[in-house]
Amino acid sequence: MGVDRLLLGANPISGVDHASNESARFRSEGVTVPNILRMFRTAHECGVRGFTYSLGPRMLRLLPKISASQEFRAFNLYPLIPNLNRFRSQAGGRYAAGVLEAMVGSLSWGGKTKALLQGGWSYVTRNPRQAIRAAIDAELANVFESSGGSERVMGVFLPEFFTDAALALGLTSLLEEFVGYVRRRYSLTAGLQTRNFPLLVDSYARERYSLAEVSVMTPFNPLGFQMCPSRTECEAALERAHCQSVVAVSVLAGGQLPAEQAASYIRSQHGVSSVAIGALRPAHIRETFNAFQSFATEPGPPGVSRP
Amino acid sequence: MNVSDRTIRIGIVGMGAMGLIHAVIFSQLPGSTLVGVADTNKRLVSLARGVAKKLPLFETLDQLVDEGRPDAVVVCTPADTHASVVEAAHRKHVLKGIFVEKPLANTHQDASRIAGLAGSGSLVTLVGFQKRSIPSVVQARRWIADGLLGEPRFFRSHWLAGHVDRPATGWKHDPSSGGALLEFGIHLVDLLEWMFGPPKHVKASAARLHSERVEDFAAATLEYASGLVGVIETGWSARNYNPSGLAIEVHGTKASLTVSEDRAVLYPDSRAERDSPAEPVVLNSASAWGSLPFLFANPENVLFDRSFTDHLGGRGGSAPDFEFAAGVSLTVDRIRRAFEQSGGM
Repeated sequence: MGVDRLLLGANPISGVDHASNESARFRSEGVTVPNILRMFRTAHECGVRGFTYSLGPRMLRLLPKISASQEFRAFNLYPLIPNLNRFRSQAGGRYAAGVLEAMVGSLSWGGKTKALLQGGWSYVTRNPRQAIRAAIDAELANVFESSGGSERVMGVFLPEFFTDAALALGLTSLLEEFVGYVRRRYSLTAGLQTRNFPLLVDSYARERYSLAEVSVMTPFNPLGFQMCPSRTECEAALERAHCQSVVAVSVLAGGQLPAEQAASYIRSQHGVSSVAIGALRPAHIRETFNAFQSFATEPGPPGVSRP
Repeated sequence: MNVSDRTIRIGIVGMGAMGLIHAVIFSQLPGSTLVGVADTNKRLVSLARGVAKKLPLFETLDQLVDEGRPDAVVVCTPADTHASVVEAAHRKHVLKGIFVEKPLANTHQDASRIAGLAGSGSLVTLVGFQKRSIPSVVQARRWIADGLLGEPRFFRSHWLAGHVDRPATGWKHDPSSGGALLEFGIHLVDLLEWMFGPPKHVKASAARLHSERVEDFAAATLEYASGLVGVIETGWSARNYNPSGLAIEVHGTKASLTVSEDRAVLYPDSRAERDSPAEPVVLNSASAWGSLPFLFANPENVLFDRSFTDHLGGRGGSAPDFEFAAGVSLTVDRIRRAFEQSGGM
């Protein structure tokens, strides 16, 4: 198990730009099926073999149109689950309570899940660990169905909203439940996305959990953009973390950096095993991933998956 | 021990989306600690107890204050309960600060009553107008305050989002507590009052697209005693605004500016320097956040919450207090009345 060295990120498709809402809206205008297929084709030509994405409303609308294509099927998949936005729209104006209820409600889709939740809300409140497992089952069933099967799903990451909330509130054991269940039940690489990497590393150490079988997706760039509490502390955490793999995101600092400068920095961070970069335009994909070719061909730390 | 000399104890009232965000941030901000969360939804509290065994959870504000002993509470309940929750919190007489998520109250009448309570003592108050913490917005306001625009003459502004794409229920879709103006437009009203003060005259119209009981779009023209005239547009069913977008442009006698969440740009008047026209001055928010101790939700949420603890700890920080927010509520009320009278919906 491991993670591909180069991952294509779905932020341009999902309408996410960590540095600019205007840019995210502008890029959304180019999100058409032909452009997406061209994106996959170009990225594949640049040696990219992994795709990481959230199962948000827009992605769910697009996947039926692209999942059978040769372009999409050439990629290993690393979804982030669950996606709150999907449940938020079902929850109407009830927000947190509604989201939880919608999520629990959705669990009855699968036969096994239904059986697990026969006790309904009281069952969930008494057995949060079972609820987490049932939620993973339901979300992964969605992933497998929408992405054309399970064989190309190589790893699963928990989105930063859940990871960072759990870390802040001292619920590291729930994170361990997530990664443990994904590994044991599905034999997949299990990962956590965070914007507070040192907190994750220190919380795991304090609770005496090991990160040796946990992949982490977190910002790394020479500007320290979204690296909390600081670039220096994130780099120090990288040295002591000993994760299964570290997938760097925000490597271009939200578009503030030329790809060459970003690649040079990433090469200097020996604990970084993969990078995930979102780009939609072929020229941008080529320029960006070509800059990371030497990173892609270096042996890298353990945790790198080779095609 | 004075509150400024020790860690500030924060309690959260309301376990909705904003309650969770504040709970997470205050639990990690240096100088503050989370002492408990209260929610009257017993099912939600029961679920949270099952998941977060170490987190003190309460079913009432009284329990939170009596047992959690917070220095301050953050009120994140539905907007139509803000007034009663703040009054109940104020009656406890032990709190040094109250932070209310926006709006302070649904009506100016309720908002000014709450502001009156707070104004009678040394209570630190804050209302959740987090957009003030965005670097580009801070810079734009500074250019205006420093007189770089000369005399502001007219502005255009909008905050549009694509969040509501079908009829919905809940308090944000109830006429007494919801609508696009209270959800998004109120942030814009706050920023404009922060920049220019309250308007003298208000005209407005509104429209519906999906909602059955509240406005999906509102537009208002504001006129100020100084002669400044401006336009506000706000809506939550603009399909091309995912993510949402905030923009203000101001034109003055010496210069113009544009500001969004991404950047602020100052366009100096180049007529005086024909040989070497002055270049626009640009500040990008992405490069100006500075170092954050912890990141959750948006960076402005973290900075704004930090301003509350700074204020409580006597470390300065200007912020929209209850009195200011009551003024914002007055303008929002005037806009609502104007579009209701216009018969546009």
